[in-house]
Amino acid sequence: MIVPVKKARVFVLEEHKDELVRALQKAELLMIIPAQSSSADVTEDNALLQRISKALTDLNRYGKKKSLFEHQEVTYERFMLEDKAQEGLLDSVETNIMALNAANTKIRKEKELLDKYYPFRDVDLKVKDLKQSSLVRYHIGYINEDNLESAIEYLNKNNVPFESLVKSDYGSALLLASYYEEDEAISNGITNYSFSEVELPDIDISLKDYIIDIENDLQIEQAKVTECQENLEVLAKSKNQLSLMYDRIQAKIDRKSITFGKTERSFYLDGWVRSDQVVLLEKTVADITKEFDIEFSEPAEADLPPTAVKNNKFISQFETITNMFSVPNHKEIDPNPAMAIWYWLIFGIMMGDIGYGILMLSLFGLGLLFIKPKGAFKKLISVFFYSGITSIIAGILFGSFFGANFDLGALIGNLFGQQWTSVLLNPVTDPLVMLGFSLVFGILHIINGLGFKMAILIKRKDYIGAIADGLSWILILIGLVFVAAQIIIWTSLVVLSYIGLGLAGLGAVILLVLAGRKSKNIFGKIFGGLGALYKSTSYISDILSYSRILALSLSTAVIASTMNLLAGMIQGSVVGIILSIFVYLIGHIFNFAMGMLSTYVHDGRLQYIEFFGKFYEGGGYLFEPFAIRLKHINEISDLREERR
Amino acid sequence: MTYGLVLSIIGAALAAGLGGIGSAIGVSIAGRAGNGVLAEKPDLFGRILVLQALPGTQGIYGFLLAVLILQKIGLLGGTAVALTDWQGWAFLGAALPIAIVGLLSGIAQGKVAATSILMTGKRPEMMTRGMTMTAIVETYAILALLVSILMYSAIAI
Repeated sequence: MIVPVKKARVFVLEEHKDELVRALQKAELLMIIPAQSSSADVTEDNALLQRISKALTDLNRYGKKKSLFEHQEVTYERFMLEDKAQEGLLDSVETNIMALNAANTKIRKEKELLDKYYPFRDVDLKVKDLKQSSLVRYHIGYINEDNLESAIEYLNKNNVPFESLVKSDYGSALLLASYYEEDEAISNGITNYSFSEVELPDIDISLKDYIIDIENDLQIEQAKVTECQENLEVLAKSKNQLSLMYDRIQAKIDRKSITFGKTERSFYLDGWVRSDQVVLLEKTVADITKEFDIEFSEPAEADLPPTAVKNNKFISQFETITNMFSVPNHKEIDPNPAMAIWYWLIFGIMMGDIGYGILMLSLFGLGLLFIKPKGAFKKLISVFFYSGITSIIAGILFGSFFGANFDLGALIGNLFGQQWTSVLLNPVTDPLVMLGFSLVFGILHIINGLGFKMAILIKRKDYIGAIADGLSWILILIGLVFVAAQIIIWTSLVVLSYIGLGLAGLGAVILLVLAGRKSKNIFGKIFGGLGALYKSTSYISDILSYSRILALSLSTAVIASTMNLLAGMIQGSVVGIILSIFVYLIGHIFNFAMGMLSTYVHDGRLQYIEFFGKFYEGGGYLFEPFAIRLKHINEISDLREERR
Repeated sequence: MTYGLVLSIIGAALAAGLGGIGSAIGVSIAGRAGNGVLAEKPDLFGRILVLQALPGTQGIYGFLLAVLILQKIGLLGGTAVALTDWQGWAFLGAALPIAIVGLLSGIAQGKVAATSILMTGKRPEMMTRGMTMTAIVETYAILALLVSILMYSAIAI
């Protein structure tokens, strides 16, 4: 059902503005239309939000990740509390992360140094002294393994004292000394042997001590890293507080972004309110102050009000299917109640298996219970859950349990010593009957769609249109069903055919006469009627489209029984029986997943194109009142209670 | 083994083979687009996987008909039926609609799936519409499967 919305204008004094916004956010009654004035500055809050978000991602690396089954619930009072502990938590997370990063950077740098100088760890001379030698200049560096011998030869030839030290990743470490006067020639000469010099560090102590120092430093930094990590692991346990803070700040930003209109003495908010919640809105505002005023008005012709859809618990789950196509506009009839039933039935017939139905009920039921999804996703899961019921029913009628033949009626009949059967139709052995059933099902679906079209046209007082575009086709389709029923089922009841032909003929006459009514001249009227009759080709393709009900129910059933067959083939030995369990498991999981996907898609298509195509306009947008948007928290518990 | 039996086996082979090829190509076209999108938006994996799987049904339809044929001619757990030549040709003919349409529509559907994936990459909320667009291509594979099954069930042995 589509609930009409009203335009509301709430006037309050300046000092009550904040309280009003707070109360409205809590009450979720008003969809606020932003006024043309600049809103408060939220840069600071946004920066804070980003800090929290970063801290949360960082913490994810240290504590346990939030599991799918974790459910975080707080009271409204707790939610709104500006908790200093939360800020402290955020600060310490950031401090620890920063310290951790600094320590890690330092460790990386020191490891580089260690790599570079470690081969020279036995040089027990002070670097200062090395540098200040009055006769020679010392060089340290690395030389390529392959060139080592020729380089040594070169050094010996030139009487350069040197020491070849250990090998490392960079090559062989080499220490050499050259007289200042020869230095340039020697350093150039040795470069030819791919000697890469390492600059002596700027230190007073020996390289040996230097290495020890670095190693000590490394240990200290490592200890820091461990400490920070341990701290973060502890902090990660209170991650929930940060999620709470995130959602609280987000709610605060949302409140600050509300813009008021201004009169001489007061401020006002414009918004949409559901007509059945008008009193609630008045009460919410009156609870804050006595100095207020609310004006309600019907939406003007030029307005585009949001669509507030209200249905019972079962049907409202299926709204997500409609909304994926298009949200209904505020002027039309809510297609959801009818669509929900059709979608539900068709889903069951397409799956058509007791086993898969039970799987859907348990899988999605447990999901709803433990994962507690939110919003559109929750509705989709509920749709699958409910469709498990029809799948089981269809499975009983088709006599299929995980692809195996299963006759529930016969089982129950055995108990009472009766010969009962619950299998009405097996799509695999009687595809033709199933095809006929699918098409008749489709015709009923289409007739329902045309009925909606008539209702919409009647609501707009276009009675001729309702007869010409709705009733005519309904008569033709019902007539066809009668004829088909006579030919296929009740062959002796010839009168059925006559009734059918009569109905179809009447429909065709209405079409011929009325379809061209909008044309001015006589030719236009004639051709308009003929053109409308030609539209029957599109009806034929619409009806044939329902053969996918047969195709999909057949494909789930046949593939399931093929998997059973494959598993049965290898059950010769103990190993075979164990292997066959895997075949059953993998085969049925695959078939279940693919079946769910195809069914979801094709059931949707039948609604979108064949059903909605007849009457649905859509193009609206949802009524989403100003509320607390929760990203991390699952629920605010007392608000849920209140809404009941 | 009779000549008719060989023909019907060829029919089953064509249904499963060509349908499978069509789906494999279709799924690969969609998968390539999917990988491109995933490189930018890894969190869309679930949605994109669903879209990529859509052109996979032609292979299943072909497989389905192949199994039905093999079952009817007694090659799946039973004794092989001595089919006449004409019966064999009839089975081969029944396999052709889903074999040919499965091959071509699988490829065509893969292309639509690829563009739907690109659309989902830009606007994730449009994914279901992309799914519907993609599913419309499949209608003709379903009709072909239907014709194949009608022919198949009309063959008396």
